[in-house]
Order: sequence, then structure tokens, then C-alpha cells
Amino acid sequence: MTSKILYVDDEDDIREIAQMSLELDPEFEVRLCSSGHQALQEVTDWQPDLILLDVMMPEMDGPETLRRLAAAPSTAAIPVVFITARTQTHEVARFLSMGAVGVIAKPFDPMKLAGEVKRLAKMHGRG
Amino acid sequence: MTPIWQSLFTNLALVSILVGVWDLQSDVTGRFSERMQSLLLGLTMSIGSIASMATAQPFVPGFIFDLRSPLIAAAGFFGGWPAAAVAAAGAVSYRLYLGGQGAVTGVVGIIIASSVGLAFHWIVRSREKTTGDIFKFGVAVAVGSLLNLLTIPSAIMAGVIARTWLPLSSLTFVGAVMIGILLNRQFRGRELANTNMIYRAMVRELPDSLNVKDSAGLFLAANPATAILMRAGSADDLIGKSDFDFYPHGLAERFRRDELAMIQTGAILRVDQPALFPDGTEGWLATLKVPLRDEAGSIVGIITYNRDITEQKRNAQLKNEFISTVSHELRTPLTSIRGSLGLIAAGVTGELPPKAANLVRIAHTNSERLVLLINDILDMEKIESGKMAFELRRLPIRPILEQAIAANANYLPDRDVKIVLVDDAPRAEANVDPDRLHQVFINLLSNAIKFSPVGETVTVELGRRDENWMRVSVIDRGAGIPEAFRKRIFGKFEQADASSTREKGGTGLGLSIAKSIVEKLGGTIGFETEDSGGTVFHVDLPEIHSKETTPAGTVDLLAPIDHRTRVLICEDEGDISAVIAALLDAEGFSSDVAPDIASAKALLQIRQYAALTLDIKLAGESGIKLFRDIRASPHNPEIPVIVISAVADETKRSLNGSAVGIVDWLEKPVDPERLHMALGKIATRRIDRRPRVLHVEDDEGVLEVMSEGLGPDVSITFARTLREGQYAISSHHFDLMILDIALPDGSGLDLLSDLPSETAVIVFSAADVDEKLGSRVKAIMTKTKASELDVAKLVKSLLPVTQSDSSSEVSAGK
Repeated sequence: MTSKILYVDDEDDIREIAQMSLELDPEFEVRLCSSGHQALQEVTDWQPDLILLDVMMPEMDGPETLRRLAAAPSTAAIPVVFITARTQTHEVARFLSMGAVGVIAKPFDPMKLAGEVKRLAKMHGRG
Repeated sequence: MTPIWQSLFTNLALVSILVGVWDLQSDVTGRFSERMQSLLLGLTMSIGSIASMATAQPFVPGFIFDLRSPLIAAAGFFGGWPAAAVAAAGAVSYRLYLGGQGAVTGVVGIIIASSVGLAFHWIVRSREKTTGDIFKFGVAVAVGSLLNLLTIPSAIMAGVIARTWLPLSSLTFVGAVMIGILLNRQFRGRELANTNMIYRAMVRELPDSLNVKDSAGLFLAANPATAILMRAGSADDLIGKSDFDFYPHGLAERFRRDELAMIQTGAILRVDQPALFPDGTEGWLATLKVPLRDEAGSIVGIITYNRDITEQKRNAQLKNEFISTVSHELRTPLTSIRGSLGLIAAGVTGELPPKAANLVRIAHTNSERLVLLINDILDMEKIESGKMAFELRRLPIRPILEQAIAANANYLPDRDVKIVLVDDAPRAEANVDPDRLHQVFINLLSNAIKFSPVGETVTVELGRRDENWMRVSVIDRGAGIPEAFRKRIFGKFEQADASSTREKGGTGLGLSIAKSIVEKLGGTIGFETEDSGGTVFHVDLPEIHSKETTPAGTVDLLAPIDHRTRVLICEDEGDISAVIAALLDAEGFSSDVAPDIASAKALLQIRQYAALTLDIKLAGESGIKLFRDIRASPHNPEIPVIVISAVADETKRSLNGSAVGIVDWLEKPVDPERLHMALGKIATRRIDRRPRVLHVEDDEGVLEVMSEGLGPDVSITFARTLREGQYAISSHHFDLMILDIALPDGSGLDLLSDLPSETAVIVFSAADVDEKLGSRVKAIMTKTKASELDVAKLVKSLLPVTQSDSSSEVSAGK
């Protein structure tokens, strides 16, 4: 069964690497967004199984994107995982309290990213 | 009174006056250098001795008897050689000027006195002069003056000595002691004034606030900086007042509380506290409060020292913010670098030419190192700025250790270092933050692996230092820590030598972080190392005792610590050994873990185990080899073994025939119920040493007679049906089975396939059996031909000899 993963990050390079890393798992179908706005449009049509969301993005940052996702009934149930370089204890606690199901630290290990995402998707998957 | 007494007494008065004059001028001369003061003392004593000679009454022509020698000697004693030289030179010149036939005697006397003074100066040069010293000085000067009398020309000697020796020596002694005491007091007084002046200046000029209060909180003394800080006019305005006169009530009350606590406990108080400065700015003060004690040692007040550390605090904060920002900014590009290199190095983008692959490997390894370094720097910053949150929970330490061991399983696979876990403090608990402690153990383990020789073993020991402290030791057999490095080892960015950074990796921050974490947990970290090799790092944590299990104070360090039965887990996968250990723990067993055959053998040699769980496919080796080695070894060769394997059935077949003492075969993942039963067999073995016999028989009468025939030295279990027999075999170990074939629910022969191969069998049945039943069936007896007692006799002869008295009745041979 394939899982649809949406990866949102304003850094082009990191998006590309994340896509390659995630696609090491043949069950993952990956789409990329470069901003929170784009992500909000994408989710309504595509309905991903899990969203990986960068925290520090211009205009609309990760937490704001999450807030809007949670506010819309059609997207509220999609599990969101933050992927960020800000991983101090209080920051992680704050992200989780916002409703994120997990936090993945940057720099991530490209050979382990898919496994980690799969684990989170399994734990928080819908249905 | 004879003229000589009169003359000498007059002299003595002169001496007193002289010392008084010296004392008066010392207020002025006190500021001069030491050398200058010495010369002045010499000059004064020189003038004194000249005056002494000039006023002496002549009663032997050509001779002068006076008290010049105490003055000259005192110059040397108190002023050293410059004073001695000046005093002696003046006196000698004047004596020569006076001339007469006693001139030589006079000069010799001056030289003797000067020498005595210098000698005493040298003797007590490095300590305070005592009254004893001064009396000895007096005696020496008096003796010197008597010796001097011997230099008088012999023609007149007899008459002169008879008249002079007593007054001269006694008053010389009195004079010398008097000068000594007076000068000594004066020198001491001057030193005290000096010291006082220095201390006053120190306190006055100190830019930090320093003050002394009595136990009621009233100021006894304060320096100007205190007055400025408290917005008082001058330091004098503070005296007799308290904090309540200068600070808002709440603040003053808080200060007073701190002080009262300190007065009660006597503990030094150090605290960094926010403060409002006189210019209205907010900042930080480092406050130190020390008890003021009287001579009897009881606390009579408080000494307070306040230092403005606003600048340092601000700098530290800026530094921390800078480090935090830089590290996060570094992580973003590093994500791309590490990601790209990781994917290429893993071959995701296809095979690279060998040279390129090597370069990519180098770049990848170093990007990984950079990630670790940044993480460590951030951790360090978090600890130092107090931002690292510690969530303390009461937890058993072993699972945290097991996780750290499992996490290190794939660290530096080329080094092939095994980790053995020895647990002498099962269930030991402490208040810890599991994530942070995990970080500490990971660090110590990865260091131990890094510095171990290839293929060696690292031993992790969980034990107790004493009844209040548990100790986790990580023991390696590496080269040891170089002497020069030992003091710096917990410092930041410290590694034994620069080349090891490249060779061994690591950031040089790990141990520093580990130390900070352990200390935050209320513990200590330390190490012992030998130049010849091997290092033990130990983390000591305050243990929390469960009241019902280990009352504090009753731990006997020499006895087996837990009194529980110990099982050795031979398993190379940390996750699985942790599961088995937890199951064992729940069953009341404690356990150690050996990840390979060599360390399992080593542990079996030095420790007592009731059983062994064996992963038959240990990394790259065959557990079967271990099994055979154990059976052939002198150490506990009969140890019961529970085989745990992903391929239990397959192994069972390959071991067929030699599987003596295997209690059970368990498949992975381990079924707790099966393990429980297997452990039940071990437990019964240990408690009941009697041979165990299973009697499968549906005839109540036969059971009864057989039981009597076997007697009390054999433990008998009855099974009246096939089903009961099956259950008995699955839950206990038997040495022998007496088997009836015709059972209500089937054939007893069905039990033979489930029976461990080492259990002997005697078939005792009504029907004749002519099937071939295998070598372990020792006899087939028919109920019509043999009695129960015959069977019992045979059974006893087959059973292992027991230690009970009646065993002698049983023939031992099989």
C-alpha cells in the first residue's frame, strides 16, 4: 500500500535530497512544496497521508501552516511532522503541543529518513 | 654600693632612655625601607654605646666597664648586619679614641657582643621572637661579657675580675633582656600597624561591596563600596543599621532569611541574584555570605561580599545566543551536504569508481562528524546556560544501560568489540532523566569501543559503591589514558592527542558533557586507568531504595547482592537480551548478558549461574559450539541451558543426541509463557536437589506402592492421563519417567517424543511391548512379571546419587 507524503521546505536543495531519501522506500509517493501557501493548496486536492513541514520558512512559517491545516476540517486529521534544525527541548515541546505528531531533526540521515517517516505514519496513520 | 654598681645602674637608666627615644622616632622612621631602618637602629645603638662609655665611671685606669654590649648585641639581633656593623663601628672608633691599656679588651668585647647579636638574628630569622629567645639572648650577651674579662692583661686580671664579674654580668643580662623586650614589643606593634593599614586599604579600595554584620543583622563594619551600593552617605552611616533601613521590606526580609539560614547551618552561601544598582540600572550581583566566628568557633555574625557581575552575565548570554544561532544556521547547509553525501555513499545514485567512492566516503564521514560536533556544542551551551531541561523520574537503571548497549551495537563494526553486561545491582533505581543518562552511557561506551583493541570486550558493570550509591562501570582493555591527559580529560575540546581526533573521531566535548549531566543528576563521574592498559569509567548515582526490598543499612557488600538466582543471557542482539532480561526479572531472576562465546565462557568461569539462555546463532559463531564447550569445561558443565533461537527446530535436530541438559527450546520472539515454564524447571532443580521422577500411571494402587518403594529420597510427580503427562513434561525437568502405555486418553508412548533426551525411561505396563523404543528406554517391564518394588529398585539404581544419608543403600552404577 502506498503512502502519500507531502514535503514542505523553502530550501530547494533540501527538498531534492529529502525526496530522494523518502523515495528509497518504494511505498512512498512524494510530492514537494516550497512554501506554506503552496502546501495548503496541495493538500486539499491530494490528501496526503502525512506532511513533513519545515519550521523556518518566509511569509508563512511551519507553525502557522500547521495552524491553518488544523483549522480546516478537510485537512485537520492529516498528521504533520516538523522537520527542523531547531531541536532544543523547549522548541520540540512547543512543536508537539501545537499538534505535530513528531519532530525530525535536521540534518537528517538520508538513509534513515524514510524509515523514521514510515514509523510515524504507521503510528499516526488514518484508518 | 660600690662604684661599679653605681656606674652600671646609671648606664641601665641610659639604656632605657635610649629605647624610649628609639620608640618615639619610629613613628617617623616607620615609613623608611627596611635597610634604612636597620642602619638607623645601628646608629642609635652606636650613639647609645658611646654615651654609655662616656658616662661610665673609671675605677680601673685604662678600663671602661659599662653596658655597651647589650646595645651593640641588640642592634645585631633586631637590625641584622647593617645595624650590627654601624653600631660596632661607632663603638670601636670611640673606644680606640679613648685609648688606654684596656682598649684591646674593649674592642674585643664590642666584637663579641656584635657577633652574639648577629648569631641570634640568624637563629630566629624565620620566626617571631619569643620571650625565651630574648632571655637566651640576655644570657649569651652576659656570658660574652664575662669571656671578655679574660682578655684583660694577666698582670691586673685577678683583681679586676674579682670586683667586676658579678655586677657586669648581672646588669648586662638585665640590660640585654630589657632592650630585647622593649624593642621586640615595638617591632611587633609596628608590624601590626602595617598589617592593619594594608587590610584597611584593601577593604577601602575594593570596588566590590564587603561588610560585616552581627547576628542580629546590624552592620559592624562596611567598606565605601557597600555604602555606594546601599545608597548610604558613607560607610559610617551604615554602622548599627540593618538592611531594613535601606531596602524595601520584602527584599530586606529575603536577605535576612538567607542570613538566618546561614547562621543556623554555618554553610557558606553563594548566589547570583538580580539587583537594582544606585544609578537605577538593573543587573546582577554575585553574593557570597560567610559566617563570622568568634574565637570559640561559634557564629556571631555574617561577612557579606557582593560583586557586580552584570557584564559577565550579559557576555555569557550573548555568547550563548551566538552559539545557538550559529549552530542552527550551520545545520541548514549541513543538511544538504550530509544528505547528498549520504545518498551517494550509500550507492543510491549508482556505483562510483573506487577512488571517487573513497573520497565520497571521507567527505561523508566528516560531514557526520560535523553534525556530531554541532550537536555537542549545542548541548554544551544548553548545559552552561542552564537551559538543558532535566525531567527526573525514579527509574531502574538497567534498561537505560541496555538501550545504550543496543544503540552502540553497530558502532565501529570493523573493531568487532563486544559489550558484556554484568548486573550486580538488579532493579537498582535512581532519580534520573533517562534521555540524558542514555547520552552519558552512549558516550562512555563509544569511547570504550573506540579505544579498545580490535576484537576485545568492553564490560559494563552495574553495581553498588556502598549502601547509598550505585555505580555503573564501563571497563575497557585499551591502552589506558596517558598520564599527562588525566587531569584534562573532562575539559572541553580535550583529546589525548591531536592525531587521535582524526583517527578516532569524536568532538572532544563528550566527556565534558557527560560530566555536566551526571553532576546535574546529583552523581559523580570518574575513572581509573593504568599505564599498562585498561580504563574504568564509573558513574555513581544516589540510589533510591525500595523500602520493602532493600532496607538501607542492611546491604552486605560481600554477600551476593540480590540473593536472587542468576542467569547468564548469551545473546548478541541488545534488544532481545533486554526483553529476556525483563522476563527473567519478572520471574525473580537476575541476569548478566554476554554477546559472544568468549565472554560467555569468561563469565561462566568467574561467576555462578543457575542457568544459561543461549542464542544458538550468535553473531558469526555457532551457539552449539559454546554449548559443547561448556559441557566439556570444568566450570559448571551441567548448567541447565534454555536455547532461544529463530531456528529452534532446525538446531534441535542438529544437536540431536548430545543435547544433555537443555531445559527447553524457545523460538524467537520469546513467548513469555514458555520462558516461564522453562524457568520453572530451573527453579525446581535448584530448590529440590532430589532426583525427580515422573510416574505416568492411571492405576491409583500402582502409584501408591511405587511411591512407597521409591522412598523419600526421590521426588515423584504423578500423571494419571496422557494430557497430565504432557503438561508435567512441559513444565518440569525429570531425571526419569516410569511409563504406563495404556492411558485413558491415549498411548503413553506419545510422551517419548516430547521428553528431553537425557531423561531415562522405564516402561512399566500390563501389555508386552516389543517395539524398538530407543536407547533411553532403559527397561521394559511387564506388570504381570515384575512387582512395583522391582521397578523401584531399578529406578533407584538408574538415578544420580544424592547427598542424603540413604544414598549409600543405592548402588551407584548404571
